[in-house]
Amino acid sequence: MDKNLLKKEFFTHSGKIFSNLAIAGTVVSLFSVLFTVLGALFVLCYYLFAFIIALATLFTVLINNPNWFSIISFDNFGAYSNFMLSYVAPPAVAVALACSILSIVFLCLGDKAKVKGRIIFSSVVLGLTLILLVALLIQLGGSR
Amino acid sequence: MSTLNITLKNNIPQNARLFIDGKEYTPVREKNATLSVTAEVGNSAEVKIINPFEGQLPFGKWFLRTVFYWLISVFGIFDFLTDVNKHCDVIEYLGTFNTESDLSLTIKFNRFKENGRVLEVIEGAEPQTESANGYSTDKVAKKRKVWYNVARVISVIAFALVLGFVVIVN
Repeated sequence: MDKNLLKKEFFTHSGKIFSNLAIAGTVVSLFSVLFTVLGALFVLCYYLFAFIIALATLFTVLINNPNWFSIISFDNFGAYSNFMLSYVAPPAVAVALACSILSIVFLCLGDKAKVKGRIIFSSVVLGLTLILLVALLIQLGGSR
Repeated sequence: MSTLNITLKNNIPQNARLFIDGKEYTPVREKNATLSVTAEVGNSAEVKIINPFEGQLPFGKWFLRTVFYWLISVFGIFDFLTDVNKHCDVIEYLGTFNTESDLSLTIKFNRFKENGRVLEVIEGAEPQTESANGYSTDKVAKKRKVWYNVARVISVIAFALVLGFVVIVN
Protein backbone atom coordinates (compact mmCIF):
# COMPACT_ATOMS: atom_id res chain seq x y z
CA MET A 1 0.00 0.00 0.00
CA ASP A 2 1.45 3.37 -1.00
CA LYS A 3 1.60 5.64 2.05
CA ASN A 4 2.04 8.74 -0.06
CA LEU A 5 -1.14 8.03 -2.03
CA LEU A 6 -3.13 7.48 1.15
CA LYS A 7 -1.75 10.72 2.58
CA LYS A 8 -3.06 12.48 -0.52
CA GLU A 9 -6.43 10.76 0.02
CA PHE A 10 -6.47 12.20 3.55
CA PHE A 11 -5.88 15.75 2.30
CA THR A 12 -8.43 15.34 -0.48
CA HIS A 13 -11.10 13.97 1.88
CA SER A 14 -10.47 16.71 4.48
CA GLY A 15 -10.46 19.37 1.75
CA LYS A 16 -13.84 18.18 0.48
CA ILE A 17 -15.32 18.34 4.01
CA PHE A 18 -14.00 21.89 4.48
CA SER A 19 -15.40 22.78 1.07
CA ASN A 20 -18.86 21.51 2.14
CA LEU A 21 -18.60 23.54 5.36
CA ALA A 22 -17.55 26.65 3.42
CA ILE A 23 -20.59 26.33 1.13
CA ALA A 24 -22.93 26.01 4.14
CA GLY A 25 -21.30 29.02 5.85
CA THR A 26 -21.57 31.10 2.69
CA VAL A 27 -25.25 30.23 2.21
CA VAL A 28 -26.06 31.18 5.84
CA SER A 29 -24.09 34.45 5.65
CA LEU A 30 -25.60 35.30 2.27
CA PHE A 31 -29.09 34.77 3.70
CA SER A 32 -28.24 36.86 6.79
CA VAL A 33 -26.83 39.76 4.79
CA LEU A 34 -29.72 39.69 2.34
CA PHE A 35 -32.28 39.27 5.12
CA THR A 36 -32.94 43.03 5.32
CA VAL A 37 -33.47 43.28 1.58
CA LEU A 38 -35.57 40.10 1.48
CA GLY A 39 -37.56 41.31 4.51
CA ALA A 40 -38.30 44.64 2.87
CA LEU A 41 -39.39 42.85 -0.32
CA PHE A 42 -41.62 40.56 1.73
CA VAL A 43 -43.31 43.56 3.44
CA LEU A 44 -43.81 45.26 0.07
CA CYS A 45 -45.37 42.04 -1.28
CA TYR A 46 -47.58 41.90 1.78
CA TYR A 47 -48.81 45.49 1.22
CA LEU A 48 -49.52 44.71 -2.42
CA PHE A 49 -51.37 41.53 -1.48
CA ALA A 50 -53.33 43.32 1.28
CA PHE A 51 -54.27 46.12 -1.11
CA ILE A 52 -55.47 43.66 -3.76
CA ILE A 53 -57.63 41.83 -1.18
CA ALA A 54 -58.99 45.15 0.13
CA LEU A 55 -59.81 46.22 -3.42
CA ALA A 56 -61.42 42.84 -4.20
CA THR A 57 -63.64 43.13 -1.13
CA LEU A 58 -64.42 46.77 -1.95
CA PHE A 59 -62.60 47.76 1.29
CA THR A 60 -65.22 45.99 3.45
CA VAL A 61 -62.35 43.97 4.95
CA LEU A 62 -61.29 47.17 6.74
CA ILE A 63 -64.58 47.22 8.69
CA ASN A 64 -63.73 43.93 10.41
CA ASN A 65 -59.95 44.58 10.53
CA PRO A 66 -59.13 48.26 10.97
CA ASN A 67 -55.43 47.31 11.29
CA TRP A 68 -55.46 45.42 7.98
CA PHE A 69 -52.45 47.27 6.57
CA SER A 70 -50.34 47.22 9.71
CA ILE A 71 -50.34 43.52 10.65
CA ILE A 72 -46.85 43.33 9.20
CA SER A 73 -44.64 46.38 9.08
CA PHE A 74 -41.00 47.25 8.50
CA ASP A 75 -40.58 47.63 12.28
CA ASN A 76 -41.10 43.88 12.81
CA PHE A 77 -38.19 43.16 10.51
CA GLY A 78 -35.87 45.66 12.14
CA ALA A 79 -35.29 43.45 15.18
CA TYR A 80 -34.86 40.27 13.13
CA SER A 81 -32.57 41.99 10.67
CA ASN A 82 -30.41 43.38 13.51
CA PHE A 83 -30.23 39.94 15.10
CA MET A 84 -29.20 38.31 11.82
CA LEU A 85 -26.60 40.97 11.09
CA SER A 86 -25.11 41.09 14.59
CA TYR A 87 -25.26 37.47 15.74
CA VAL A 88 -25.69 35.14 12.75
CA ALA A 89 -23.76 36.72 9.88
CA PRO A 90 -20.35 37.40 11.55
CA PRO A 91 -19.72 33.83 12.75
CA ALA A 92 -21.09 32.40 9.49
CA VAL A 93 -18.77 34.60 7.41
CA ALA A 94 -15.83 33.69 9.67
CA VAL A 95 -16.56 29.96 9.33
CA ALA A 96 -17.03 30.27 5.55
CA LEU A 97 -13.80 32.24 5.15
CA ALA A 98 -11.70 29.90 7.31
CA CYS A 99 -13.17 26.75 5.75
CA SER A 100 -12.79 27.95 2.16
CA ILE A 101 -9.11 28.83 2.75
CA LEU A 102 -8.53 25.48 4.51
CA SER A 103 -10.33 23.59 1.73
CA ILE A 104 -8.15 25.19 -0.98
CA VAL A 105 -4.97 24.42 1.01
CA PHE A 106 -5.99 20.81 1.73
CA LEU A 107 -7.20 20.13 -1.81
CA CYS A 108 -3.93 21.50 -3.23
CA LEU A 109 -1.98 19.22 -0.88
CA GLY A 110 -4.14 16.29 -1.99
CA ASP A 111 -4.66 14.84 -5.43
CA LYS A 112 -4.77 18.08 -7.42
CA ALA A 113 -5.49 16.46 -10.79
CA LYS A 114 -8.62 14.70 -9.51
CA VAL A 115 -10.11 17.65 -7.59
CA LYS A 116 -9.47 20.51 -10.00
CA GLY A 117 -13.19 21.30 -10.12
CA ARG A 118 -13.46 21.45 -6.35
CA ILE A 119 -10.46 23.79 -6.09
CA ILE A 120 -12.06 26.17 -8.62
CA PHE A 121 -15.40 25.93 -6.81
CA SER A 122 -13.77 26.64 -3.43
CA SER A 123 -11.98 29.64 -4.92
CA VAL A 124 -15.33 31.00 -6.16
CA VAL A 125 -16.81 30.42 -2.67
CA LEU A 126 -13.83 32.26 -1.15
CA GLY A 127 -14.39 35.21 -3.49
CA LEU A 128 -18.09 35.30 -2.66
CA THR A 129 -17.29 35.15 1.08
CA LEU A 130 -14.91 38.09 0.78
CA ILE A 131 -17.63 40.11 -0.99
CA LEU A 132 -20.05 39.14 1.78
CA LEU A 133 -17.50 40.18 4.41
CA VAL A 134 -17.20 43.63 2.83
CA ALA A 135 -21.01 43.91 2.56
CA LEU A 136 -21.36 42.89 6.20
CA LEU A 137 -18.75 45.40 7.36
CA ILE A 138 -20.50 48.17 5.40
CA GLN A 139 -23.90 47.20 6.83
CA LEU A 140 -22.59 46.94 10.38
CA GLY A 141 -20.70 50.21 9.98
CA GLY A 142 -23.84 51.91 8.70
CA SER A 143 -26.00 50.63 11.54
CA ARG A 144 -23.65 52.04 14.22
CA MET B 1 15.23 3.32 -24.04
CA SER B 2 12.00 2.58 -25.86
CA THR B 3 8.54 4.04 -25.82
CA LEU B 4 5.48 2.38 -24.36
CA ASN B 5 2.22 3.82 -25.59
CA ILE B 6 -0.98 2.64 -23.93
CA THR B 7 -4.36 3.54 -25.37
CA LEU B 8 -7.37 3.00 -23.13
CA LYS B 9 -10.50 1.99 -25.02
CA ASN B 10 -12.84 3.12 -22.27
CA ASN B 11 -12.54 5.17 -19.10
CA ILE B 12 -10.15 4.03 -16.42
CA PRO B 13 -12.19 2.83 -13.41
CA GLN B 14 -12.92 5.59 -10.92
CA ASN B 15 -10.09 6.34 -8.50
CA ALA B 16 -7.73 3.83 -10.17
CA ARG B 17 -4.13 4.90 -10.61
CA LEU B 18 -1.81 3.81 -13.35
CA PHE B 19 1.87 3.23 -12.67
CA ILE B 20 4.53 2.35 -15.21
CA ASP B 21 7.82 1.23 -13.67
CA GLY B 22 6.71 2.71 -10.35
CA LYS B 23 5.94 6.17 -11.73
CA GLU B 24 2.36 7.41 -11.75
CA TYR B 25 0.88 8.53 -15.07
CA THR B 26 -2.38 10.34 -15.67
CA PRO B 27 -4.08 9.32 -18.93
CA VAL B 28 -4.53 12.18 -21.37
CA ARG B 29 -7.67 12.46 -23.48
CA GLU B 30 -6.88 12.51 -27.19
CA LYS B 31 -8.84 14.24 -29.95
CA ASN B 32 -10.58 10.98 -30.86
CA ALA B 33 -11.90 10.80 -27.27
CA THR B 34 -9.69 7.88 -26.22
CA LEU B 35 -7.35 8.12 -23.27
CA SER B 36 -3.67 7.46 -23.75
CA VAL B 37 -0.41 7.33 -21.84
CA THR B 38 3.10 7.48 -23.24
CA ALA B 39 6.14 6.51 -21.18
CA GLU B 40 9.85 6.08 -21.75
CA VAL B 41 10.79 2.63 -20.48
CA GLY B 42 13.71 0.16 -20.46
CA ASN B 43 13.76 -3.36 -21.87
CA SER B 44 10.72 -4.34 -19.88
CA ALA B 45 7.94 -2.28 -18.36
CA GLU B 46 5.94 -3.06 -15.27
CA VAL B 47 2.39 -1.79 -15.53
CA LYS B 48 0.47 -1.53 -12.28
CA ILE B 49 -3.11 -0.36 -11.81
CA ILE B 50 -4.39 -0.05 -8.26
CA ASN B 51 -6.93 1.98 -6.32
CA PRO B 52 -5.70 2.54 -2.78
CA PHE B 53 -8.40 3.82 -0.42
CA GLU B 54 -8.58 4.67 3.24
CA GLY B 55 -10.65 1.64 4.21
CA GLN B 56 -7.59 -0.52 3.55
CA LEU B 57 -5.54 1.19 6.25
CA PRO B 58 -4.72 -0.66 9.48
CA PHE B 59 -7.55 -0.30 11.99
CA GLY B 60 -5.79 2.22 14.29
CA LYS B 61 -4.89 4.62 11.51
CA TRP B 62 -8.29 4.28 9.85
CA PHE B 63 -10.03 4.92 13.18
CA LEU B 64 -8.00 8.07 13.91
CA ARG B 65 -8.66 9.44 10.44
CA THR B 66 -12.37 8.65 10.70
CA VAL B 67 -12.65 10.36 14.09
CA PHE B 68 -10.89 13.40 12.60
CA TYR B 69 -13.32 13.49 9.65
CA TRP B 70 -16.25 13.02 12.01
CA LEU B 71 -15.15 15.95 14.16
CA ILE B 72 -14.31 18.43 11.40
CA SER B 73 -17.51 17.60 9.54
CA VAL B 74 -19.62 18.48 12.62
CA PHE B 75 -20.47 14.91 13.68
CA GLY B 76 -20.46 13.66 10.11
CA ILE B 77 -23.15 16.08 8.88
CA PHE B 78 -20.91 17.63 6.22
CA ASP B 79 -19.08 14.45 5.28
CA PHE B 80 -21.00 13.93 2.04
CA LEU B 81 -19.91 13.80 -1.61
CA THR B 82 -16.43 12.94 -0.37
CA ASP B 83 -16.33 9.21 -1.00
CA VAL B 84 -15.09 8.03 -4.38
CA ASN B 85 -15.16 4.31 -3.65
CA LYS B 86 -18.59 3.71 -2.13
CA HIS B 87 -18.62 -0.04 -2.66
CA CYS B 88 -15.00 -0.65 -1.53
CA ASP B 89 -14.09 -2.18 -4.89
CA VAL B 90 -10.48 -3.27 -5.14
CA ILE B 91 -8.73 -3.00 -8.49
CA GLU B 92 -5.45 -4.83 -8.89
CA TYR B 93 -3.47 -5.27 -12.06
CA LEU B 94 0.23 -6.06 -12.33
CA GLY B 95 1.77 -7.06 -15.62
CA THR B 96 5.21 -6.92 -17.23
CA PHE B 97 5.58 -6.19 -20.93
CA ASN B 98 8.55 -6.77 -23.18
CA THR B 99 9.66 -3.36 -24.46
CA GLU B 100 12.95 -4.10 -26.20
CA SER B 101 11.45 -2.14 -29.10
CA ASP B 102 8.69 0.50 -29.01
CA LEU B 103 5.38 -0.98 -27.99
CA SER B 104 1.83 0.21 -28.52
CA LEU B 105 -0.88 -1.38 -26.45
CA THR B 106 -4.61 -0.95 -26.57
CA ILE B 107 -6.36 -2.08 -23.44
CA LYS B 108 -9.99 -2.28 -22.50
CA PHE B 109 -11.25 -2.15 -18.93
CA ASN B 110 -13.98 -4.58 -17.96
CA ARG B 111 -16.94 -3.63 -15.81
CA PHE B 112 -16.64 -4.44 -12.13
CA LYS B 113 -17.50 -8.04 -11.40
CA GLU B 114 -16.47 -9.88 -8.24
CA ASN B 115 -13.37 -11.92 -9.12
CA GLY B 116 -13.61 -10.69 -12.72
CA ARG B 117 -10.66 -9.52 -14.79
CA VAL B 118 -9.74 -5.81 -14.65
CA LEU B 119 -8.56 -5.44 -18.25
CA GLU B 120 -7.88 -7.18 -21.51
CA VAL B 121 -5.12 -6.32 -23.96
CA ILE B 122 -6.95 -6.08 -27.28
CA GLU B 123 -4.09 -4.84 -29.45
CA GLY B 124 -0.34 -5.23 -29.04
CA ALA B 125 1.73 -7.82 -27.21
CA GLU B 126 0.33 -9.88 -24.39
CA PRO B 127 2.13 -9.37 -21.06
CA GLN B 128 5.16 -11.53 -20.35
CA THR B 129 3.97 -12.05 -16.83
CA GLU B 130 0.68 -11.14 -15.25
CA SER B 131 0.75 -11.60 -11.50
CA ALA B 132 -2.55 -9.86 -10.78
CA ASN B 133 -5.58 -8.98 -12.86
CA GLY B 134 -8.72 -8.99 -10.83
CA TYR B 135 -11.53 -7.10 -9.20
CA SER B 136 -12.62 -7.86 -5.66
CA THR B 137 -14.50 -6.27 -2.78
CA ASP B 138 -12.73 -5.37 0.46
CA LYS B 139 -15.22 -6.81 2.96
CA VAL B 140 -13.42 -5.38 6.00
CA ALA B 141 -13.45 -1.87 4.52
CA LYS B 142 -17.12 -2.28 3.60
CA LYS B 143 -17.97 -3.28 7.18
CA ARG B 144 -16.04 -0.28 8.51
CA LYS B 145 -17.93 2.00 6.15
CA VAL B 146 -21.27 0.63 7.32
CA TRP B 147 -20.31 1.22 10.97
CA TYR B 148 -19.15 4.76 10.22
CA ASN B 149 -22.40 5.54 8.41
CA VAL B 150 -24.44 4.13 11.32
CA ALA B 151 -22.41 6.27 13.76
CA ARG B 152 -22.96 9.31 11.53
CA VAL B 153 -26.75 8.82 11.39
CA ILE B 154 -26.96 8.31 15.18
CA SER B 155 -24.82 11.38 15.88
CA VAL B 156 -26.82 13.54 13.44
CA ILE B 157 -30.08 12.51 15.15
CA ALA B 158 -28.54 13.15 18.61
CA PHE B 159 -27.23 16.54 17.44
CA ALA B 160 -30.68 17.51 16.10
CA LEU B 161 -32.35 16.43 19.37
CA VAL B 162 -29.88 18.40 21.52
CA LEU B 163 -30.24 21.47 19.27
CA GLY B 164 -34.04 21.21 19.47
CA PHE B 165 -33.86 20.88 23.26
CA VAL B 166 -31.59 23.93 23.57
CA VAL B 167 -33.92 25.99 21.36
CA ILE B 168 -37.00 24.94 23.38
CA VAL B 169 -35.32 25.65 26.75
CA ASN B 170 -34.12 29.09 25.64
